[in-house]
Amino acid sequence: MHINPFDIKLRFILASLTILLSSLLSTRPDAMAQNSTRKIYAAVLSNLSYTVGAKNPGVGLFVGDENGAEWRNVAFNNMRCFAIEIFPHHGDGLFYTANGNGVIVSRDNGKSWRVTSGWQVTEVLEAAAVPNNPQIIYVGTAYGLWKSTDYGENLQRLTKRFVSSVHLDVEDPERIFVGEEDGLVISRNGGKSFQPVKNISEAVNHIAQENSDPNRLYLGTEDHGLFISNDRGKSWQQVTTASQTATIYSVAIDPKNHNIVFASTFADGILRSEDRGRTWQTITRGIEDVEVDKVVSDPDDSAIANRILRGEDQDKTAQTITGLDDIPVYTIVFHPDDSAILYAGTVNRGILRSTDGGESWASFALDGTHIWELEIK
Amino acid sequence: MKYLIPIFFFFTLNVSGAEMSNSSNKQAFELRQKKMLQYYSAIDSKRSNFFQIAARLKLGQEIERCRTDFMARLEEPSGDMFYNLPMMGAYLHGRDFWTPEIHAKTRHVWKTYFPYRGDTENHWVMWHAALLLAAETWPDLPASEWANGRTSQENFDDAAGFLNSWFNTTSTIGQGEFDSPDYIQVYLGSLLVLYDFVQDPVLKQRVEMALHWLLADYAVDYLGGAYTGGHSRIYEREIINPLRDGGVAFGYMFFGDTPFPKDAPLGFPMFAALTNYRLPAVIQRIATDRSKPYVARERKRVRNVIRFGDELNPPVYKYNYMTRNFSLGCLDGGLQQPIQIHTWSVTYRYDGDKVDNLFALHPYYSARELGMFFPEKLKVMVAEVVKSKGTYNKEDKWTGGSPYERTFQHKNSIIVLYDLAEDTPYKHLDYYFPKSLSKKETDESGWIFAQGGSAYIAVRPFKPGDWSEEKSCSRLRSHHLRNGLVTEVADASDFPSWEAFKAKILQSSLDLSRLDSNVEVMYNTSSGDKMKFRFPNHRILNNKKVDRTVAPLFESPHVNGNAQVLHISHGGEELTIDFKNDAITKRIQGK
Repeated sequence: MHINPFDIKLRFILASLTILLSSLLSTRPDAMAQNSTRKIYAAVLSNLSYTVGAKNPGVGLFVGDENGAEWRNVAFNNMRCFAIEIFPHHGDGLFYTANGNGVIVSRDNGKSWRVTSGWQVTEVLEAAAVPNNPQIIYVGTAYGLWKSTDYGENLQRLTKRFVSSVHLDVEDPERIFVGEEDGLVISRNGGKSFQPVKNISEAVNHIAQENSDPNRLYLGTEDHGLFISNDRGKSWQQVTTASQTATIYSVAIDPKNHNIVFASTFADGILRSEDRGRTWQTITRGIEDVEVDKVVSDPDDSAIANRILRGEDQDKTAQTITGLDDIPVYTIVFHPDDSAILYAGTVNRGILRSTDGGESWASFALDGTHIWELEIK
Repeated sequence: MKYLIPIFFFFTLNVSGAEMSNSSNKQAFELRQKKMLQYYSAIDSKRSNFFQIAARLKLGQEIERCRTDFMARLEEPSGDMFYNLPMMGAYLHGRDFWTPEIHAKTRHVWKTYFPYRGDTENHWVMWHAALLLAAETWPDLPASEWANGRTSQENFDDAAGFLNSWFNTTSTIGQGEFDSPDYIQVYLGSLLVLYDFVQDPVLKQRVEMALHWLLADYAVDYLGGAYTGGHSRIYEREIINPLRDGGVAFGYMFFGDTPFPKDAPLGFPMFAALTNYRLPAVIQRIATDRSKPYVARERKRVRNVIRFGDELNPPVYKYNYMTRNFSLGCLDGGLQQPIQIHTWSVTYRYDGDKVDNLFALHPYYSARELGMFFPEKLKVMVAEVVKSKGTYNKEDKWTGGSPYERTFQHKNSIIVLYDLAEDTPYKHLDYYFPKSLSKKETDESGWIFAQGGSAYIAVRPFKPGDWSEEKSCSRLRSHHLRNGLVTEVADASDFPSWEAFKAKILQSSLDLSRLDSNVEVMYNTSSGDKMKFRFPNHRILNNKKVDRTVAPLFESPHVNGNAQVLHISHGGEELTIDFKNDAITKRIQGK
């Protein structure tokens, strides 16, 4: 099939403008005005064209604002970023990133960076710092959980198994929940010892806890759906009102109304509960009937590094996106000031946004990228 | 143990590799170095790459252009460790030609460019070699002068820590990315740059030992330019064209028995063309002496298993039968490395200096396989891998392992068994019969007789299949869950005729009566050995159970080693590489 490059370019420009326009139009003016200073940080692990050694990798820690414009790479343009912990008001601004190269830290609001981990610490996948004492950080790796009490400078290995999620108790940060490849372990003494949870044998992708009732926790698992605990993780019940075979990547609880809970999945769209996890509905609206066919690199490394072109009939390898259930969604976060606004980090579709409490979703930013984690500060 | 240890009628002394090479070998090597430099320097390119820059400067050619091109590449750093290692190699080899601006710009790259150090053994070796050389080149700098926020000393310590750990691991439980016809170029290239420029004397000694170790490992399985037997990683282009893989030019440089490899990758081999390292002659003789057939056994390790396993680095057992005209070699089978493993093959020489492969495989892919070795979410991993390894999930691919494949080899005979699961993505085996075979006949008994060069090859598929013709091969595809084959290979000179070979093979006995019920076969080879094999790991040879668990790292007539010590011997000369004591010792029989 012959592809006219000018046609591609035009489609790309039109598509980009459409996204930008729709993003602007779909944003509620009051929220825009109220929260104009909020920054959104994205841990970009990969994109449609990324391979090791790529000329323009376009992965790493990105930051943008709520208008969806002015996204730029913070720190390094080729550092595969799995997780982030950001404390803009701690000292001069504390950033932790969990990367392929280890733990990389900035203590001057991103002006300079330092790899604090040695060659032994690779494949750092998760990071959880103690909110009121963020020099203490736990990092989850393919080789277990590690702890540092000095901003990542010295890391002590606590466990050995593959870590897929880490959560610190909202009231007691000495209580650490660690999701592993085949279960959940809990420490009640800051990592000195861990006890396995008996009835969880699945790979645990995410752990979420209610702020208002810390006894209630949610687990997102690989291939086994959701689990809920009402006794702070001692016992768990599988949710039977949603797919029990779904892969759940993350759970987000409305900070202002704990009855509203979202779960993101690999191939089952986004799940929403309005009754604190008793019943769930699947949301697939948005991102419909789009063909994703080719990646182009932005000539400016510091801007959005990769985007996708869209068109109806452009390439044999085109993939038709027919709804949210075609897009793996790794993470969902609520806007801290307005629970009607949510952001979702996806595989290869960048960041999606909903401005109607999760009813519908639209492409927002960093299209073409594979987002592992989002933070709004 | 580093100095003068008399042992019976041997004498021992501590010597460097440079002293070991005799003068004629040394002269021949230096001629090949010059030829390689001249050939690669003359290749025209819009902008010289780092390897070309180093080569041209060595020859004193186009110095201004080299400066311009080097500076241009410093302006646009990209490519992660694939950039940093060649960049440091070119910088150090050409250091006498650089202007102050180039020196400053190179330093600036280390201050501002922060590459990904990768997720694979060869990435880590490249990255830490480059980092160590940079830390030694610019010592005593504060953290603010390095993109990774560490001081020169911290970077040196980190890089040296990795490299020493890698030397120790490799010499204790074997390499993870072992015997790779492609990635050997990265290991040797990185070590050669280190050898030439590392300042730390202990590290320099260990780097030389590692070079001897890896080249002895290569020499044992080397046949006319090809790395034979099973491999941890290989690309399809290298299976189809074995003399175009990344190791070929290193074979030419160090072993010197092949034509100039103009079709092979020549970038990393420039560091062999530039090096002061000299291969001990004993290793070169091991690579090229095929006067007597031999069996070589090796033990390697699986790349780090991060999920779905209790052992971080399970052992990998490699078996290779080497002759002057062919090799038959294998790994045990199963998922011992991700994506690109090559489990078994017959490799034969033909038309004088050419080499080709015959093999079979079960095309397999899965998120679980990838999840064993890579940390990303399972369900998106296949798509991620296919971005750079496009055939990984294809039904007609020619590389990759399968959990449903196992081998049992004894000398020139091999049984390969397959027990495919009902839910595996592809339920067939593919046989690769290369076009270079001069004969290929299907006998009514079920045997397929083929000739590749002077190798007579007999293949007995256990279940029937369908043939199709492709550019490089005839493909035999067999659709059965419980399946397998026997292959025997012999040298044509051992038989009075082709018909005599076929008749001998037809006298062998094959019992397939328990294949469908137990995935078990018995085969009495044409040489009279009795092999009984039940999937996955029950192997009986001449009524004795085969026990692999006691296998040393290396076992062959010329290379033997275990527990950080490697003995390399040939023709009355013995070289010992001892990572326990950081010593290289040479013994000459009768002196």
